[in-house]
Amino acid sequence: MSIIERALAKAKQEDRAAVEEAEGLVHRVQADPVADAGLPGGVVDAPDLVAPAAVREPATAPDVRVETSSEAGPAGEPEGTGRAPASVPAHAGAEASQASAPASLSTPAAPCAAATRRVRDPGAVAPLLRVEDLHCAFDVSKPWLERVLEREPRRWLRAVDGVSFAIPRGRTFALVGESGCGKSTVARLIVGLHEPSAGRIVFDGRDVAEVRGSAERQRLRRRFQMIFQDPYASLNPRWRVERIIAEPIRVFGLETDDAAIRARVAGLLGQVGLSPADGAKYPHEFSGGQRQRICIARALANRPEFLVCDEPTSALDVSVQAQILNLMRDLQDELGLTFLFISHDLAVVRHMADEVGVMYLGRIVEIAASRTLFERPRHPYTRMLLATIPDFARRGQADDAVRGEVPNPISPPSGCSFHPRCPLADERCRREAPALRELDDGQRVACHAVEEGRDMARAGADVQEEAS
Amino acid sequence: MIAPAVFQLNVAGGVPLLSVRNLRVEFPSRRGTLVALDDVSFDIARGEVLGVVGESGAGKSLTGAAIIGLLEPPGRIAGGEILLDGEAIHELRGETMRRLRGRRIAMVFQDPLTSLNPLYTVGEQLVETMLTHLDLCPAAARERALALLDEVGIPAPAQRIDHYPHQFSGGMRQRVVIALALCAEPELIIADEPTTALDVSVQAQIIALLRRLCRQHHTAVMLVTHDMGVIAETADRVAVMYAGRVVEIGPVDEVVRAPAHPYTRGLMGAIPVLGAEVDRLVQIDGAMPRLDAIPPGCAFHPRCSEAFARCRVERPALMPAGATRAACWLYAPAEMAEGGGR
Repeated sequence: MSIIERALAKAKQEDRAAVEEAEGLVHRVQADPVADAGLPGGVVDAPDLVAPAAVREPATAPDVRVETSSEAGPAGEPEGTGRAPASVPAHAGAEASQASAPASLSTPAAPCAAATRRVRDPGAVAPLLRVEDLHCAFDVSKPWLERVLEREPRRWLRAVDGVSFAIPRGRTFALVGESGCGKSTVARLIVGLHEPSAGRIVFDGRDVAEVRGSAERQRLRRRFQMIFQDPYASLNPRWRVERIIAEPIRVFGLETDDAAIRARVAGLLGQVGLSPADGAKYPHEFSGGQRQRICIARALANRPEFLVCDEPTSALDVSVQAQILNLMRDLQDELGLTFLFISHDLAVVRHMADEVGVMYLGRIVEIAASRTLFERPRHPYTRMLLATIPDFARRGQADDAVRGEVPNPISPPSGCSFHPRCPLADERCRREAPALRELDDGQRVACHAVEEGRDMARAGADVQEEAS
Repeated sequence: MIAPAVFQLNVAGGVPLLSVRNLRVEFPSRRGTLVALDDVSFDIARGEVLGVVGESGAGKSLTGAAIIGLLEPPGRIAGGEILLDGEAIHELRGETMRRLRGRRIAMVFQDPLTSLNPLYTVGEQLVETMLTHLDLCPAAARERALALLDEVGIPAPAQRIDHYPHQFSGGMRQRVVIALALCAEPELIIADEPTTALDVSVQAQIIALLRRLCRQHHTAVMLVTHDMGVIAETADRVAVMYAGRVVEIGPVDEVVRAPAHPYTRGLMGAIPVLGAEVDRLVQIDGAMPRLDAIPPGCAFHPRCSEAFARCRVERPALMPAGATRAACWLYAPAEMAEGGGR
């Protein structure tokens, strides 16, 4: 009995250790022989990855690290960070962490500061959602037996690798990037469809992971919702529309009376531009755009404050896309919604977002206010992405600026993961991953070339052209 | 030979490479015949890139399939004709059509993984295509395959030629498919959403490649896409389709800058533009009609803000509208106009 228990505990610990190694969260130098044997790559990578994290967030990084590693708690923790910091947020509770947030978290607070300069309503300073150093790794190893027989290490796909941002109330934050950059994973982490391997998601001052008890969790969950990309796959084909829209109302127990539910569903249908009579139909009777309206009505059914929109218009035609984007903006004005908007379409992002984060292979490479980002992109990847947008005005020019493809996220390049495609890459870029650094105007860029001013020398003219 | 008639609406000098005349495609069904393409006419000159744009279900892919003879039954050409270099090809069947397909008209599909055979190396597929259509010995074909792979921008073609499709990334696969389309030196390539399955950064590269190669080989392209941006960057002329009909056709610059048909105007306004900061996008209310419920008269009239009585009863043909031609009664010649459409 006890032997089995011990074996299980050990196996769990090893797995946990392997996760941490892969995450690059722990500086464990040769402490766990099993993990070392299993993960040579992880050990080599670890210092590289920790360094930028520490630079980025001197105040928060230790907390995060301790919080995640304390549970597994292998003896040889060389860093010697105590347990005390980890317990602070747990005990202090919501109010305290909210109050202390602007003071202690220099980085996540920065976008708010930058944002307030151009807010519609200057009162909104405290972020509704804050994501701190979020990590998510997926185990893509072969099955255990095969792995042991072939003596292969466990392999991890770091879908999200240290992402931090904050979204002020009533604003739209967009994540852009190509497929496989982790933007959808961030969305799913936030709504709780995946468990983060490390990092914190703070919603309205409360750490989502610390909300215990189903009643309390449900209260929190009621406040955010998600709109998915494919309106064909996200509606139950066997349910009538009114039942689909009423589901969140019933689940959260917002109304119990059938007549009241029906009235509310009718109201929601009207709000998204459908007729109340449409409630009696099935999803297949609607076109793609109408289905996306149904999805939006369902997302609004529990009166959320925060909506995660994962490519909400990618499956739609342009004229219908315009309808949905207009509808989303109207609803935002009307209901004061906060959006996390995820898209690969830069023009759509430009239209919708107040602030934009550009992701590449699991990391944010540039964050800036929407206008700044599109007028003065600094990161070479952002510049490349902008160059891909077909421009009606200057057609027929060759796009030599664009080269290469997104590498396999299972084995990302060393150093800055963009270096194989970057025209400005040098030795340092190949060796060392850059951290997000704030420029003077609140724009934050993770690029050695920008930091050293190498980009201005070579691409200064380019930027000017882009801005004009 | 004939210079590409980039700026001309009708190909004045000589026979156009491809001429589609009053094409009608029907799908007989139990509930009656669905007319998927109705009275579609356009020309493509040699070396010209014609963009065909429209929303899903507008019939743009179907037009391509009809030209190359790949309509899926029960779909059939019920009227009109397709002329390749003056020769009717819409009635060709079996072996004669197979000879033409790949040799004179090639196709690039949306998903490169499904258009390559996973069991053969890309080299084998290229060589096979060339041996089928060209009078070459296997060694010469392989040499040409190498040169083609190099031309479409595949690094280290000498090694890559013996790789299987799954060993290529999405963008590289689409490059292979383009090489495959070009290898028999066709006169026309039908590219059906060639970049839709690709990431934006790869899309830009593939478009640039397609444009460059077709200029070099003097190959005409019919580029089918829903993305106006892709058309604007690539095509010489554009045909806008709606509900199985061509509603506007003209030089890209004119259509993009000054669209004539209300639908094209709506389509252009619906695309968010980077430079301009607008509060609301132009939206066309409603959705495209289903094939079994195409309204009488102009198919667009229920969604059109400028529709008047005539639009509801009489179907407009393509008529000159500024620098383009549009199927819209707003541009009816004065002596014919009734009811006045401003």
